[in-house]
Amino acid sequence: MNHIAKLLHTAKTATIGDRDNGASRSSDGLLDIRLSTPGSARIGTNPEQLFAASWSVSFASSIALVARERNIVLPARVSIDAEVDLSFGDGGYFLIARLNVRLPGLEHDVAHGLIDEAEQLCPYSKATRGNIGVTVKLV
Amino acid sequence: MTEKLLFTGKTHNTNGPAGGARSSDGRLDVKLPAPHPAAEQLFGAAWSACYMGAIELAATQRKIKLPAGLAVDAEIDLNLAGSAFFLRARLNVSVPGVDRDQAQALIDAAHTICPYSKAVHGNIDVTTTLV
Repeated sequence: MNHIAKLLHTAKTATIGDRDNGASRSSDGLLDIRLSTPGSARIGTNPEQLFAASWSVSFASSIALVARERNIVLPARVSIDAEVDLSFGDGGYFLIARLNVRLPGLEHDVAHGLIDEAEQLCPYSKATRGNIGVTVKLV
Repeated sequence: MTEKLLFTGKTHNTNGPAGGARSSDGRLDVKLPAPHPAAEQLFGAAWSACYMGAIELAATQRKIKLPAGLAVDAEIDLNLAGSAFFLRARLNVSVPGVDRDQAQALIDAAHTICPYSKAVHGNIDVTTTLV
């Protein structure tokens, strides 16, 4: 990295318990969630939902940034349906992610170009590159 | 390779001032007005919760009894270098009631178990500190 890195922000969360019975809170109080085993009676979310949301938020911002640089006006209803699998195999636990991106009203090639570039820009796509299976699809 | 899908987390995410993220089961439902460090908070929470499960699993494998009060304070930095965004993470782990060497061994082992640690391995800087 030959540029001087600039810290944009730091997110701080405090988490107690685990994925089955924990709770997590951000230092600004805006994230305040309980965790529970999927399908259990306990009300709560789980790491895979949180990560799906996290990645999608960042990916949507990346699309917006690329669009701005290319002077492309984005439709109002950009949406991403994300799925994160937790699986167990010979190598232990692993994740697989699918991001289904909707850019209604944009020409197919233009939309494809945007999501391809967003994949290069998004820090979560970069953080997981080569380590997990990722499918980004225009739907 | 024999694989078993344990679970799929599904979220629907929308942009704009009324944007947000909602899971298919409705149990995660957050409003995300941009700009907000939402992505990094969500990732910090996701990773921490799973990482603690991995610490528990590592303890079970070593027949170490973990007292209650396990906690992870996560800090996820979003950085910009030139036009490249990148993440950096610090996990401050508290394992009360366990010998320090044992606790260190547990938090090291947990990174080889936790699928989030594995997902970012080698791609981002991670500092794990026993506090």
